[in-house]
Amino acid sequence: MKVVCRHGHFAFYPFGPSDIGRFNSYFSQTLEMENDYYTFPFLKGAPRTSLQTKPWLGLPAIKNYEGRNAWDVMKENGFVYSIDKKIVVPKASIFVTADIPRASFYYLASTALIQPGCRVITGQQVLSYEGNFDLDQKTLKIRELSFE
Amino acid sequence: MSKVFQATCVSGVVTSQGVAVVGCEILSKGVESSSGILIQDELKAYYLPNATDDLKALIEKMITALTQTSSALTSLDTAHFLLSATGGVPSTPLATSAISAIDSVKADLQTFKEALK
Repeated sequence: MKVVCRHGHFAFYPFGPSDIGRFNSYFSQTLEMENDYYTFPFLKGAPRTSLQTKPWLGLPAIKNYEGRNAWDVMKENGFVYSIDKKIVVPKASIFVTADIPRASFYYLASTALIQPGCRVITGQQVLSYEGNFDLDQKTLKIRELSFE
Repeated sequence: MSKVFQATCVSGVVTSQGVAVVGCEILSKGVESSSGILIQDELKAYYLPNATDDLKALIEKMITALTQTSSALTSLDTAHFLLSATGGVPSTPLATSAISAIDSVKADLQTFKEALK
């Protein structure tokens, strides 16, 4: 399953028909389809605009913004999806660190999914990444990482 | 790609979707209360009022002014003032075509007002 985390928003692209079911079973989640990808139910239908002080997925927006996608709004407002809480939170509220060692042709995450907003050992904040979640080995192999 | 929302403006404060829109550029004088649309384009936000009511009121005032002007001129032009106090010769109307032109413009404005979109 291809995993694309863009500025704290998640999009999943299954490789086969059973991927979503296996992923849902493993994560006790029910991914929902939106456009050409699947995402967490909380993020489905997220607006691509925000108005300062108006709640955006329950969190007061800090900027007026209109973007092409929901993750553009998340970037501008400094929001990320919390995998643990299953809601959107300010990226500044993420204090976890992640160990993402480099393997041969990819980075190997130590957790099944990396929490956007976490920091690597150098202190840089991970906001976006793209990789494949191996449903057999239950590992996330990351091809690309983007920091704040 | 921009997005449009319904909005109102009161005393220069634009409100849309239940919140005051901070930093919104008002594309009018924004003095009187109005309803209109909020246009969001990335970090920019614009308010565009619906000026149809203002325009209609303006046209109505212009029609009233032209009606009164035409009426006054007609009264003067057809008053048959004596050209000479001793001769007793009344004046003939001189401004008939000009008054007709004013009436024609007034009719055009009336039509325009009824056809406002």
